[in-house]
Amino acid sequence: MTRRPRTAALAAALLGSTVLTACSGGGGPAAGQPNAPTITTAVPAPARDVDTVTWNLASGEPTTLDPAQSALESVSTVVANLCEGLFTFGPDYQRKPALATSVDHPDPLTYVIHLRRGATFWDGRPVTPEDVVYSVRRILDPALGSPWIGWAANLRGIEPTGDDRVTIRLKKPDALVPNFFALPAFTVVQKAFAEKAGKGFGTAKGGVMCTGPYRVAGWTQGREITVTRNGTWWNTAARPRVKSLRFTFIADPAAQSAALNSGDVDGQFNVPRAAHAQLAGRGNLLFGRSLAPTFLAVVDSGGALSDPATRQAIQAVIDYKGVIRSVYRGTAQPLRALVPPAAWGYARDVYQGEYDRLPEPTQDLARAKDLVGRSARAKEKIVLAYTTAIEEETRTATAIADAAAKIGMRVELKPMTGERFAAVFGSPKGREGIDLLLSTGYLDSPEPLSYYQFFTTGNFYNFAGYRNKEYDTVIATAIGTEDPAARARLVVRAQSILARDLVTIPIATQYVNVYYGPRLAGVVPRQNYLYTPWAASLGGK
Amino acid sequence: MTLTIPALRARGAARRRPRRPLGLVLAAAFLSLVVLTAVLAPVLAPHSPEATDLLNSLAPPGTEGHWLGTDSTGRDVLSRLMHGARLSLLAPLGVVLLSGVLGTAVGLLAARAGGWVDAVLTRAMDIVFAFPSLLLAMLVVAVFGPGLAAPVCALAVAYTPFLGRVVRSMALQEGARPYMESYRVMGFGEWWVTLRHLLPNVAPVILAQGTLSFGYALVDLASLSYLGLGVRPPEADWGSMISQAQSAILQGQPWSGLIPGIAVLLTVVSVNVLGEHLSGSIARRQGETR
Repeated sequence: MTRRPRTAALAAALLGSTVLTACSGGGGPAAGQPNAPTITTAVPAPARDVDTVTWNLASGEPTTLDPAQSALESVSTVVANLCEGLFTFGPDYQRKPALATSVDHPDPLTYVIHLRRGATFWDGRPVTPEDVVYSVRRILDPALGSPWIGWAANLRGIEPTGDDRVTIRLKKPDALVPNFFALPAFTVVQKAFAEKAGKGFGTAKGGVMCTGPYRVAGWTQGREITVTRNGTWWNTAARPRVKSLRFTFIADPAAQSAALNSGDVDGQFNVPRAAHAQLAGRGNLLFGRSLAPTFLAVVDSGGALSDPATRQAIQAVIDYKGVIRSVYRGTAQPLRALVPPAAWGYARDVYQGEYDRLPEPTQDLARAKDLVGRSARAKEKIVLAYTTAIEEETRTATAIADAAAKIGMRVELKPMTGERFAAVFGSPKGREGIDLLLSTGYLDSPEPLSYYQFFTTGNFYNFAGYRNKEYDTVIATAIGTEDPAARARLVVRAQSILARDLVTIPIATQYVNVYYGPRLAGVVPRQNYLYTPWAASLGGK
Repeated sequence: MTLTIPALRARGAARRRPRRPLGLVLAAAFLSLVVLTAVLAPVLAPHSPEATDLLNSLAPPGTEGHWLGTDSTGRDVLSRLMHGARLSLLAPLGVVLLSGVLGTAVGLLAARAGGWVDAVLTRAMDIVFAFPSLLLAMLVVAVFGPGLAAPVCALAVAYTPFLGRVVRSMALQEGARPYMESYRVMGFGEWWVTLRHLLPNVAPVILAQGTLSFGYALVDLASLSYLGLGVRPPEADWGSMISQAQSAILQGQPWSGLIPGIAVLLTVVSVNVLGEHLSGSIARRQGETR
């Protein structure tokens, strides 16, 4: 038998991989005991320069470095250090000047943006109003397929109105628009370079031309992207301490853990939970509150979930305490509403008051059983889809299905690869046969309205086809309301309607985390690392 | 005195009978235990294999009520191991049976038909033989989606040349023997002779080959499950148990992956020992008859 050695080797490999990995771990019994981590809001500034830092992108190699496509973690983590918008987010998400110094808002339909004088692209050419207008209009071209096109629903036009001035005019008041000034919707690229690069803009071959603290030095596809310090960055007060930053693309959690442990990689955002215990004792493993909710979304409102009692039963079977403690190992908090408290960027007292009024999420199997008994459709099959790319979601979905089975519900699990799961968000075809979706999303800015608007009639992300006139009216009014407190009061009304109708079932908000080795300092774990030049704060201890 | 003769003869006969190797006995005993556990899993398993208990996840072996501990969602490892044995044994059996039927049919057809039929079938087997079985199974899963039916069929096709080549070679040898010619002279049909007389003569080889293929199929299917392409959750098989234990292993809590890993290893080794013994016995018997 010629195949014998192969079989024995494979069987031994299956076992061997288990043993070897086990031996490499520094676990022990204590590793199984999750402790709620401390939230870090500030760290000491770096004291010295560092020549090179290797930083891993947990979600793999970016498909592009075009800021117009900066809506994927892998792309945004790099682009945030290369390209800048008119404004940026400071700690706690307050808006800070970047390529613009200020904005006037003379009437509800007009924003006049004053550009920074002296800001230049990496090649030394000055940033002009034409570059700004070009960059914004470029994103509005449907042919580009930018995910940031949505901000402009109420845009009438954008024009250069002076040597250092750009004016934005709206068709009707839209309180969401100013948030986008600090997001990739308003990231500035050089017009001449982008036009010349054409479709190659942002690719490994075509490159990008921006103004940020780092510039692209090389992109070896499949291996690494190297960026170097931009010596002509306008922000001299925040001069980067790391001269060269090398991004690697290790996507496998076990390999990430090994690379971070060995020191081959110096740092990473979104460190796999399984590696926390080992890394906490090695370097800086820090946690911060995120704008990310994990929730169940009703996808098919015509099936078993058409009955509110069925949705309430699903909500009642979730073991929130178990999910937080076991699945997230204490690095999350249960959620009462879809938008997590960290995303209340204004009128926090209004949001807090309403949030406190919502019931605390707890598992109540007796109530769930009672609801199932009263529902005509609760015993119909419910297909719950989730992505196997996120191990925590596999475990959460498994626990929900088992708890549902205990009370007589039939929840069938539909595991999907990352690619197939992404298709769920792309078209109705990708959602065929799915009743319920376990997903983790995040808000780009601390504006709850930006998330709640997704559930208005006809919205692209309203997968369930939810229709509620009162909800639509409240959201539309909120979008047109500039006064923060008044807007918050409208948003919490919408939040109550959504919580009552259970179009989504919030589960938890996970902490954002970052790890960097013992010789480094400076990065605070904040979700806005996706859109702010986080590497400029990194340096040597 | 007359009474002692049979006793002496019996003792002498017992001395001449070859003793079974310890490895074979242990392998047979282990496989019997695994099969018995798989059959009686619903009765013997202390818990439902799908019952989760998040607040009691990753309990170590020896925890009260969980002899082999719990996995990352608090499911009892022993119960999942016992229930997992069913799919871990049944699926490779399906591969062996399917590839056995296909391989025998292709091998016999190629040998007995000869000519261009033989040439085409032999080349086809060469092509399939050159294609990695696991890759073929992964491609099929990519087309038809996860689950066990598609990979079982794909692996059966991939394994067909292993048996097909052996059967063809054996059938060519047997076909040249005088008894086959005698049947033909007596006027029996070609396929009647093949199925009635040739097939029984190659059957022990098919059996031995099938036993060895079982081990390969078990590992291939466990690998597919490990990659998340096998059984659908929350069903258990050993490969998926190892896969689901990855993060626990990184946390220094390897038992929920180590235990099914050991089960796969011991089962494959046992099946191989049994298959090799069977092949050796057949070779010896054929040597004695010729």
